[in-house]
Amino acid sequence: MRSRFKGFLLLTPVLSLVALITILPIVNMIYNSLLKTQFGFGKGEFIGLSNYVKLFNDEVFVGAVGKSFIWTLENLLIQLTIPLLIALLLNKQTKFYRVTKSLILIPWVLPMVVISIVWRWLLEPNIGFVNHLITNMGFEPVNFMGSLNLTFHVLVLINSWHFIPFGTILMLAALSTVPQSLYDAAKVDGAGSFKQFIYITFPLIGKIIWFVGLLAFMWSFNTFDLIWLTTQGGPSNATMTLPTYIYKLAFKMYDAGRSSAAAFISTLILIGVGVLYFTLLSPKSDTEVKQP
Amino acid sequence: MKKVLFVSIVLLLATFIMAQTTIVFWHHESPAHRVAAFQKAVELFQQEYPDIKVVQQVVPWGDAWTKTLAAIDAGTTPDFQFSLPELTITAYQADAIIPLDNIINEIDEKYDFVDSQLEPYMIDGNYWGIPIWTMPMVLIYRPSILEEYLGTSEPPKNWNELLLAAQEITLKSAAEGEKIYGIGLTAGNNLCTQEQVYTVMANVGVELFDEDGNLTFDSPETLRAVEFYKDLFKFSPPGATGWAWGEIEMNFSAGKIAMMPYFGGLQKRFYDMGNYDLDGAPQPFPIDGQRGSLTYPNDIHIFKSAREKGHLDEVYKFIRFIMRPEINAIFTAQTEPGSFVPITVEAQESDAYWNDPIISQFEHLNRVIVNEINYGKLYGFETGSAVNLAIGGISGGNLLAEMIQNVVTGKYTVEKAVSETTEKMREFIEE
Repeated sequence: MRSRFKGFLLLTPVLSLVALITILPIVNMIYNSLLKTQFGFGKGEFIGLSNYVKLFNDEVFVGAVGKSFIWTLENLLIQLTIPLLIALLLNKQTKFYRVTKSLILIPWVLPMVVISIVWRWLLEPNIGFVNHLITNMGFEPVNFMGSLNLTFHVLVLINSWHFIPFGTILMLAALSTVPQSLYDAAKVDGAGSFKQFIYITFPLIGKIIWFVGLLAFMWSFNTFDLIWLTTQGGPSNATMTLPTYIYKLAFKMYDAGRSSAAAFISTLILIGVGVLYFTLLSPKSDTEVKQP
Repeated sequence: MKKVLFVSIVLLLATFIMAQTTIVFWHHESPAHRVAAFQKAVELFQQEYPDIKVVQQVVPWGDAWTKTLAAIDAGTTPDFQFSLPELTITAYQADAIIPLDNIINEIDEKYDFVDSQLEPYMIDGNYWGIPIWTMPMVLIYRPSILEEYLGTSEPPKNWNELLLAAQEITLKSAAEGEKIYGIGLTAGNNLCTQEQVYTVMANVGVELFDEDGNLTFDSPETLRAVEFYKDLFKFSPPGATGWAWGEIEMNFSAGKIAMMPYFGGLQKRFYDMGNYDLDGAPQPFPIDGQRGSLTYPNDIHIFKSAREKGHLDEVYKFIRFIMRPEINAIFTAQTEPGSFVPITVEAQESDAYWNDPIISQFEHLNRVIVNEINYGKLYGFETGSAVNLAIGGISGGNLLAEMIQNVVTGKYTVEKAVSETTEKMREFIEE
């Protein structure tokens, strides 16, 4: 009993620090969400849940919540499948293995500001390189960054392009831990590449895929910089996701109260999805290999 | 003896350092040549006032609002800051700045401010920002393109001529497989779009508020201006729905755009390229409309922290120094020629400004720009002073840009876009 008390005592400074840097801002956010406040400091009038009521009547906010989910799903789909495919190809240990592994990291090391500007210029319809290729092939230039229907998906691709190297490296690391003897045994038993993947590879790297999925979800849902630096949520709110709208409310429209309410809702969504992800999709064990 | 000498030198140095006052200011002009111009003025000031050390800190425009508010909250504001009317209003609303009537009156008497450029800083009977330079929009154009496709280098003077010229250039160049567009207009969700659309709105007298601060945006004039912008936009390059400053400037410089309502700041790029195919004219307006454009005065506001630290005298000295016409030319002609324009009559007439190599190279364009200040307004400040402080949020929320996006993408009709924007403005005012 005494040693447990001692343990808690020793943990207190760290726990206080964690509380200070995580819980305090959340408490402040919840408090601000109940106030009518322009900047989040100075005088604020208590207005109860009015900010939340306003948000749910605000079609831009409701649209932003929906778009955040679609954004996350599209990103997850790409960010889980493509890295896995690339990792499987690279795992063949060809002579270009090392070079390719280094080259593939380039998008990951680039800062998002650079990525945003580079892609904006590449996709520019009149003088951009991509449209130069498209028009040279005899097609009309494509309005990648200013289209109501297309821009959202273009940004998903750019965001995924940035994430794919990281996912690939993690999956490659996981693949390298799968013992070759299991594949040899499966080959002896007559299992082809597909069956080897389903019954050996996938179960053994399942935990990493799950982990990559978790990171991809959190990072995608919270994407702000790419969208803000390319479209600022436009055209006509077509790329307005929750983080972008929260920023716009706070620092462009000076409504820190409503922005805090939106941020709290966003936090609840993240916690909710996180709990579901952990309880429903958490891999049981990474060492079991199913029998074909 | 050596020891005595050493101690004396140390004491002397310490006295000098202790006697020196350091004042810190923020500005948001991050390009290297602008930072260098600011530093040049700072060094000249320090030569004249060796007891005052001036430190410039660059906070890019993208971070200006967040960092200003964070600094106000944390009590870490600099002594003063270069600003725009909306940022000054924000700082005023956050109760962080002091009124500047005395220094403004003093400078006005000496150098004569252009009155219209002072007005946006008048809030509740006091001036809260002192204008340092201004940024007028004019119709800038490539004379060679006009010559080639219209057979004249004479720019259009009214809306009809502008629309026809834009159409003719676009269609003729397309027929030749050139893809040059008659007009450069943006419709991205950003300040650039707001500035261009307001330039068009000013030609028919659109007002966001009346003298009492009541919303008057949903008017026949606004509908007419938005309709015209929509028509003109057809002759702007594809993709302009996502454009901001970078794209439009690059397209214009690449010779893909013939004309555009814009600031004169491309002069430096053209000068550096040795390309002098650039000129400007007053913004065309309808025959039954009025000459008008957008002017964006840039100011300095002084934080309360300067007063608390006892730095006010030093800050005033610095402001008096940079408002001298020959020094002010560093902040205009040398910082961003053509874009940053003198705001006092004395500075507008000074040789220091007109003898600058870039300004003199594009003298006609710059004469047009300086003259246009007399016809310029800023949205939300049409009747003079800051009559409705909701303009900060309305401008920051990019409501005008969003309205234009909704129109040019075909999401809404002109009527619906204008009425929806008016509703949003009303929400801001009520809040």
